Amino acid sequence: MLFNSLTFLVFFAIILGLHSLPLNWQIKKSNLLIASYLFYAAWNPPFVLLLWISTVVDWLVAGKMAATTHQKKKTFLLVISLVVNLGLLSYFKYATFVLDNFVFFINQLGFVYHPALPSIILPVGISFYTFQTLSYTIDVYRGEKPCDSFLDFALFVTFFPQLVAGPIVRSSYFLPQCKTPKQATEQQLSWGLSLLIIGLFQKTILADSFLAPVVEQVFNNAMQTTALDNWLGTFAFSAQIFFDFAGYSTSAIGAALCFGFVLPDNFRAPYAAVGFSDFWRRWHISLSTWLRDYLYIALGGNRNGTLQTYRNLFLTMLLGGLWHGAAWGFIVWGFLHGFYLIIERLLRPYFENIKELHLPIAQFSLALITYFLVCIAWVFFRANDVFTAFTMLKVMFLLEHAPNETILLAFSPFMVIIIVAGLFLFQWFNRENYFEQVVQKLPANIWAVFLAILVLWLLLAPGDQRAFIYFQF
Amino acid sequence: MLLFISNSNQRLPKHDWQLIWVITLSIVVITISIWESFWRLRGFEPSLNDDAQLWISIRRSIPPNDPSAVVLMGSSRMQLDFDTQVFKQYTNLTPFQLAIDGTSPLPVLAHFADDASFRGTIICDINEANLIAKQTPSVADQWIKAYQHSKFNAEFEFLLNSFVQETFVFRLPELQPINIWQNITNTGHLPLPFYLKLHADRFKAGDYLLLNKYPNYSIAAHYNMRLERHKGMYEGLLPVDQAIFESNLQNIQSQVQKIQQRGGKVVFVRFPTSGGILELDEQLLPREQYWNVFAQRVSAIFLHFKDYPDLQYNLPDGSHLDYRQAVLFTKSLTRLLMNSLHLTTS
Repeated sequence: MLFNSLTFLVFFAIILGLHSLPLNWQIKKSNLLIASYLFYAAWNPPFVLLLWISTVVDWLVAGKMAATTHQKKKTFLLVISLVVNLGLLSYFKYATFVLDNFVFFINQLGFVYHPALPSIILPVGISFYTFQTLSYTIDVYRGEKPCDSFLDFALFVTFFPQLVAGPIVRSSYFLPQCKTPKQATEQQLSWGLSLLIIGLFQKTILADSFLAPVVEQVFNNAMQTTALDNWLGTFAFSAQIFFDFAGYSTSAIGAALCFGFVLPDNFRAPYAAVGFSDFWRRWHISLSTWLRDYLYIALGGNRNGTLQTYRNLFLTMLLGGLWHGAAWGFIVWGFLHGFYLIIERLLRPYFENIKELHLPIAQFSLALITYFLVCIAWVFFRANDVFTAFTMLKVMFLLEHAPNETILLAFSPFMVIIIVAGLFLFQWFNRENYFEQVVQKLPANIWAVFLAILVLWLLLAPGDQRAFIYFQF
Repeated sequence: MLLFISNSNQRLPKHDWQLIWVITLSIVVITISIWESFWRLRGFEPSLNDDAQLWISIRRSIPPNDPSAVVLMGSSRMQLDFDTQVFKQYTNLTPFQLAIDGTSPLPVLAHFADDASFRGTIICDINEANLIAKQTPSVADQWIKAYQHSKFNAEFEFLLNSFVQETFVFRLPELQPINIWQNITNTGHLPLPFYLKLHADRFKAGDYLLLNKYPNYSIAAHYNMRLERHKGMYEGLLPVDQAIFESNLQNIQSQVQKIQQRGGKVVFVRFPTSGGILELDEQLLPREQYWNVFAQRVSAIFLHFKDYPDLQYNLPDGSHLDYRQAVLFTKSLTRLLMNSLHLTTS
């Protein structure tokens, strides 16, 4: 079920109505759990089974883990959880990719081998809930206390606002909220609804109506584009993916808040980042912290010398890229971010003591350079394949001949420049602010007019209904 | 979110939220009411959108394994010329209108050939240009794919959307602000009620007399525009690649056979054209070289408008019938179809 659908509007109103009835807290949580399964089933009912498998396996494994003191048994139980969760993820997400590449490799060696390719549908959000349940089991393995209520645990795995595209919530963050009855206060409900509206506006209007057509035009005709087209398409995609994904996170946080639940931040003005460590503290925070806590640190983190640290960083980013999807473009994207992070670490000792670099203008320039390099990586993320991405980059850097005539409509460049520049500057000037602070400074009537404009825009110019980009991950 | 988002109750903005919602809702309700009334006063009426959701809904309603199911496919000529209510009145059969504006019928034909549960009759609007065109991904492929991967709640979402579209004028595609803006920049005036009216069963009634009421426009101007577009289409198609023509014929024959083996029937209809458009068709893709070869090579039923005086019209834009003409045309075509398919009157 998409947030930007009328079905969701009806569904949300009914569930919110039920949640506000004077019912027992256990019943309210059961309502939310059933609603979450309905939310997931609306897309493809049989895949609810996967959620159940993940929930039951991790519940049982964590319970048995906590009950034993034998380290080997604990490790064995952890392996069971990893095999089941990552096994399902691998099958649904990576089987076709592995077979494709195997066939290509075998054919390159001269063997003729053309097996029937499996037709596997990727269950929406599987990467998100797999990581969420895994974090619980690993936490218990590391000594955390397991959850004592199956209902709470099932709700933690399935809670519909963040089920299919995050934020990836940790059990230590969510489960304590299930202990006491949650009913949104007037402030929470109002702010939650405001966030839902803002998130939908970001997704439906900014990402889908304004930016997606430009991005599709450029990336789907990548061999007929000029250098300027490619640059504009790349900048447009940088804004589109932000508004799309951050729009979903904003809506998810807002929807959860309407029920009295608090979800973690997922974005903090990422395009105002100065450097790549800073970028990953601001972009998809729930994934980057997950990768840090459960992969980078598990690999040894920065405890075993410089070379090992670089290797761990690199592997973490590579797997982070692969988490997004089974395609070489995502792997190259992860590779580039790993490379950026290593270069930054290598350069840091030489630059951190230069006072001039801490001046506002220098920081702004560094943020621009960071954004520029992030955009280069986005080309691999969005292009139809790696070959196309390289061709586009060659055209962008004038290393390859390209057509002279733009394929974009006359007003597209201005629209992209205004949106991207507006986004960058807004994030830059508010890079250390909470959004709530910005809103708090506004007079109530101005905020009301702002909300009314967003609602009217959503009603009058809804555009095409597109799925969220991160649903496929 | 642009910046940090709330993960703490202490950070929530402390405003007079009741006042905020009263102001917000008042602005929204008043603006929408004015906007809706304005366009209704200018003659607009609510209508469904001719989009993938509507197409999928009709596709989904075709009963499986029903030999009496009649499916219409093709492009805009099928949608404008074939009055579904007239056909229903004469045959007591409800036709399923699956023609898609501006596309070749071949992807939809292939889709039905592959559907083992389809045993009914296909009436397919096809022309010589469709037969020589290379098959590239089109809107039809997208809609078929959307049907095959439609979500569990798609029907419910369609019902809600239909309710909204049939209730409010402001949901019309031509009244979306970007389209209003484009209309003003292109024509110098606000949009006027569209000359095509979509019915719930996807029949499009073309009221060509409305064109004469548009400022600085007329049926003649529309005809010229259509003729130029037709010329443009041929520029992209010619010269004819005989290999593509041959491959298309083979594919169509194999698809028709699949349908016939299940007891289904296929009728290909060449819908009428007139004036410069017909001249262009006859000059560039002569009937003897293309339509007649098609009719010889494929084991289906063929109806060409030139063979029947009742099907020949002077078309307002050279390519489509006015809704008043469509009534008479459909009566004549239905009579021919009933003879060809051995149907009985109700």
